[in-house]
Amino acid sequence: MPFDPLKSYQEGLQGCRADPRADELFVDSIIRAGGDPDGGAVAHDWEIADGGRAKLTVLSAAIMEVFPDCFPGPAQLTGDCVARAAANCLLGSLAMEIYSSRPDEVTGKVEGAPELSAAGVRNGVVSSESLWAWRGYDRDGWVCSAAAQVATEKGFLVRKPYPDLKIDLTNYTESTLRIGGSRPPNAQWLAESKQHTARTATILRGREQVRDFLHAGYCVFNCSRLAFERTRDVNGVSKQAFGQWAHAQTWIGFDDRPETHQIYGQALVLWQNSWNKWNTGPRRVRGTDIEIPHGAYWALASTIDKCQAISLSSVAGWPRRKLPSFGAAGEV
Amino acid sequence: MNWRVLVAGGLIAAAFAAPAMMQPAVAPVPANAEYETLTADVPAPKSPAYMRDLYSALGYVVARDGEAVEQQIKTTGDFRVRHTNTLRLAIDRRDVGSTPGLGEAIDKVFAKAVGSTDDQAVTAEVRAKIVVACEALAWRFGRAL
Repeated sequence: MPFDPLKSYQEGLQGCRADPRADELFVDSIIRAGGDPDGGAVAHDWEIADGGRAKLTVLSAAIMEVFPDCFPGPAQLTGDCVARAAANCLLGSLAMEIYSSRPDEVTGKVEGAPELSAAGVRNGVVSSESLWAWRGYDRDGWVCSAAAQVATEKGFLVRKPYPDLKIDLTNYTESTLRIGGSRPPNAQWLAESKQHTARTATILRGREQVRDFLHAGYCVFNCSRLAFERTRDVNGVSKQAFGQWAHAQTWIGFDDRPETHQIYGQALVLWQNSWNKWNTGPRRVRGTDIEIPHGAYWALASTIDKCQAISLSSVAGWPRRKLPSFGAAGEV
Repeated sequence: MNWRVLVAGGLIAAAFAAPAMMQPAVAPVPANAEYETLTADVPAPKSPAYMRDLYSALGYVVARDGEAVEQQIKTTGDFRVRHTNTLRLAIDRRDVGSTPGLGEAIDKVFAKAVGSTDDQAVTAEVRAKIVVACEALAWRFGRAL
C-alpha cells in the first residue's frame, strides 16, 4: 500500500521525537566548531535582530527564482520528515546565498547554483537521503538536533548522479531511502558530502528570532506535535487541526505587517510541508502578486512557541544580507 | 608727486591686497553632473579640504585593492568595516556630529552609487561604483572650499 503521509502522521507515526541527549551533543558540536547555539546572541552579534520587524518576508519567492519548482518536492515515502525538513532548510539558506551573490568566506568565491537536471530541482535540490543515511538505524523517525548536527559535520549531497559513489540521487525514491541507516555511508561518501556543509547552526527561541533569521535569509526547520487543517483561507492561512503530528517542517516566510496583526491578532509564519500538494486553497500572499508554494500554508506565529526550531547557515557565520549603512553614520 | 606719498600709498595698497595675495590659489573644481547628482544632499563639513583628501585617498585605496593578488575588500560589508575604521582613525571624536546629517548623507552616496544596500560581492563593477562614490564625495568637498 503506498505511504500516505497525512494518514500515517494522524495515526501516530513518530516522524520526529524529542531527545535531550541528542540536543546536548548538538549544542556541544556547535560550540566546538566555534559557533553559538544561542540564536538570540547570534542575532545580536550579527546585527540580525529586529530586521524583520513589521515586514513581510517570503523567502520562497527568492528560493524559487534560483531553483524554479524546487518546492514542494515529492511527497514523503516514509517517516523521514526530519531529514526532509532539514534538507529544505539547507535548500533555502543555499538558495539565498546564491540569490544575494555573497562570496563564500572560506573560498572567496561567489557561489553559483549547482548544475542539476530539472528532475533534480523538482525533487528538492538537496538530497534529504544524504542526511537520512547518517541516522544510525533503519526505522522511521529522527531528531531535529541530530539532523542539524549531520548537516554541519557530515554535510550533504545534491540531487544528481554520483557515479564514483555508485548512486544516483536525482530522484527521491524508496531505493535511495534505503541507503545508509544502520550502515553509515563510507569515507568516500563523506569526502564528497563534506564539500557542502552548513557551516554552523543555532537554536532559535521565540517568534522574533524566527522572524529575524528568516528576514536575514536563513531558513528555519522545526519539530513539533502540531497538526494543521488541509484547507487554506483566502490569505493562505491554515488553522491548527485537532490531533497531533509528530512531524518536522520548514519555515520559509514571516508576515509581521501591521495589517496582518490587525486581521489575525498576531503575525503569521509560512510553513512548508514535505507532502507535495497535500492541501488546498488560495496561495496568493495578501496584498502582493506572490504565491506561496504548493504544500505550504501560513499559520499563526504563536505556533512557533510550541516547536523546537533550528536555523542552518551555509557559510561561515551569519553574515547579514543587507547592510545597515556604508559605515559613515555616527562616525563623522 | 612727492616720493614719500608714493611709497606710503604703495604700502597701504599692499596692506589691503595682502590677504588676497597671501591666500593660496584654489583651483576651481570643474562641474560634474554625475557627481552633482550623487552628492547633492551632502552638507559641507567643517574641514572640507581634509574630507576631500580623505575620500580621494579612500577611492585610491579601494581601486588599488582591486589590483591586489589577495583582495581585502571582497564584499560591500568588508568595505563598510574599512570605511568605518578609516573614519574612526581620521576624524577627531570630538568633531563627530559637528555637521548634522553628514554621515548619513555620505552613506546615501554609496548606496546610490552601488545601487543597493545588499551585502554583496565586490565585483569589478561594484568596486568601480564605490570608487566613483569616493571621487564624487572628494569632488563635493572640494567644491565647498
